[in-house]
Amino acid sequence: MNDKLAAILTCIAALALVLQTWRRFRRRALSIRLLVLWTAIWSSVAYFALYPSHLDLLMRFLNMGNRLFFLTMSGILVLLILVFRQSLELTRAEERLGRLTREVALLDHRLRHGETSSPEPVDDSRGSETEG
Amino acid sequence: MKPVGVFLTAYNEARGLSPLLDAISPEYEVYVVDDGSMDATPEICRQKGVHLVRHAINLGQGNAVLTQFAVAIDSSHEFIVAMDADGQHDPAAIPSLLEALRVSGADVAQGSRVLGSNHASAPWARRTFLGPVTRLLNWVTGYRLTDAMCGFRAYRVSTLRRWREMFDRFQEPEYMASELWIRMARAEFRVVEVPVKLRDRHAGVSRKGSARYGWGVASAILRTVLDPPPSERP
Repeated sequence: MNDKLAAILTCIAALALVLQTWRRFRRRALSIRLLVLWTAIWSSVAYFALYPSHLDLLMRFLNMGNRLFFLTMSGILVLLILVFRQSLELTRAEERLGRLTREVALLDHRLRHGETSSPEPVDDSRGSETEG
Repeated sequence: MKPVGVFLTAYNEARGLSPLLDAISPEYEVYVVDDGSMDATPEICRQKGVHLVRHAINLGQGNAVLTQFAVAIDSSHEFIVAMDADGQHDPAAIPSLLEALRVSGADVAQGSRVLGSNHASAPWARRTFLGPVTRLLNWVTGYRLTDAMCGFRAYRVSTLRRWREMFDRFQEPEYMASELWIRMARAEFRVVEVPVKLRDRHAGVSRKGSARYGWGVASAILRTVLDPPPSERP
């Protein structure tokens, strides 16, 4: 009985989070990629709360015997992947922000002081910047 | 436009900026790259009539240095001198940096606090960590520097213009000095060192003696060494 209650409560919580995710998406606070990702995560939580025996299929495939250990390790792995992705996005955002701020400062300086481009011809082609 | 531009990178340096700007000879064109200061730094620059290049937000000194290079390349100066706005770099040393560039034909004149006469009185952290970091950079670059981390330098602008496309490749602006030396070495820039004296900061404490900064420098060196672009030569 307690297991069923726990499963129902978990489902309700997961459903609430799915709705919350959709609300954020509708308010443009979430990209479609994150909408899909988090909806999948919350839906999986609800599904396996209702049908825990279906986890056993996955565990047999992975040759694991302890359900709790499997859930814990899976959760940690998913979280680490998410943190890694967020780190990459944060780094990219910082880089873009830095570049943008420098460009704005340079443009503002040019406008106010009427600086001209360098007197030497400049090769603006990007062909020489290929990596590897 | 005057042949020499003097660039200061500043963040909340209102306290000592005015006397510093007054101490710079009027024969130079003065620029202040303001890295999003929240104090009166921009107002002081406007009052003194120097060029103010302003970041909308604080990005760190490395990004301010990249902006400095972009403005220098845009200009028609023959040489630029880069210095900090915290008062540690004496404007009286500017002519010696420029003279070293002219006489030697080098691309960069590096100020050396070690060759200067008062290194022994520098803060403990600097005296302790500067040597190993400089030796590490010497080993990686092949230069024979005595002080790789001093921000008091003069550059030949024509060299910076040939180098312009590499500025987008900087990966660790926060630890600019390390990456800059490695990239300059790959581009075979000629460097000459000039003794400079260090003065006390107007205010505040340098963070460059912290363990975190030291770790950042080491990781920036490692990252730059492991990630070489195909060619750095201008």
